[in-house]
Amino acid sequence: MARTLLDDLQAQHARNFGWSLACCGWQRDLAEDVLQEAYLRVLEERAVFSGRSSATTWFFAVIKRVASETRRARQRRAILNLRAVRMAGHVEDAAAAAEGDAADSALRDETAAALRAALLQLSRRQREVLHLVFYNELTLEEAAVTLRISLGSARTHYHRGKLRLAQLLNLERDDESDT
Amino acid sequence: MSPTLEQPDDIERELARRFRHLRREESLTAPPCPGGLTARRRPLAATMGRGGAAQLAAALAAMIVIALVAVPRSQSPDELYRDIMNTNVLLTDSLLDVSPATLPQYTRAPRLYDLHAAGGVSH
Repeated sequence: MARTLLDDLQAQHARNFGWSLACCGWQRDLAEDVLQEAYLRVLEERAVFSGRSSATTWFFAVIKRVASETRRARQRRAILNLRAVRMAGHVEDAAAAAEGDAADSALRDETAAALRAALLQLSRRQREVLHLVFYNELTLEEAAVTLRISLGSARTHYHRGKLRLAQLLNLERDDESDT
Repeated sequence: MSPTLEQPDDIERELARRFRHLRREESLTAPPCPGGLTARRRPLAATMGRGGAAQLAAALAAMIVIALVAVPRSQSPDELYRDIMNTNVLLTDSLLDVSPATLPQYTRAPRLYDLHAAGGVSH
């Protein structure tokens, strides 16, 4: 395995984690598991960098794929757990526990928390494109490659997402409201 | 700044600022990079210095010697026959060393015939 690839991944670890958080709806435990699995796939060469794109966009795509797979697996497990809980008649307890988890992951920083809350109200594609462009400072072309969508589609998600986010954060301008 | 935002409008500038803030906050709470990445396997080119090259040369030399010794050479039928006969030379005296159980007839003295009775040679 090329040494530079691992060095690159290590150097951008914080950004990898940030992207993993975004892909997992800011569920920290899930994001950590996803990132760990993504690293593992690279180390075990289950995910191989072909060099057709940049290492960053390639690894972000790996993270996103792992996140999708993990989310689906957890949803299946959650459905089974919910059925089991219902059968046991402990629905209230489960709701209280979920509320407690949310409180535990409460955000200390209000600005960051507001942005995260607003991002969660966007469509998944809008959120992903905006995160890649603003948070990870990728170009729209790179974001499109990472998400495996066309550049036109990425551009549409970017503009719609940007305006919606501005609206949610009270940043909107009158002259952009009709675009 | 991303190339996408070369000429950012006010919204993009503000969003970029907020995302930078988010990134800073999240990077502070990011878990440590897994040890597997730092204790990575070294690539072959990096691990093979002078010692590695010498080991490779020694291995190649050993393979060549083995190939020369182990590979059978072709022989003509005449040479093959001579080789076989030379390797199976059996001296007469060695017959005395043969076990009676193996070749009983070799340990018995030959029978002496009466040549006179047979009308043969007279002294």
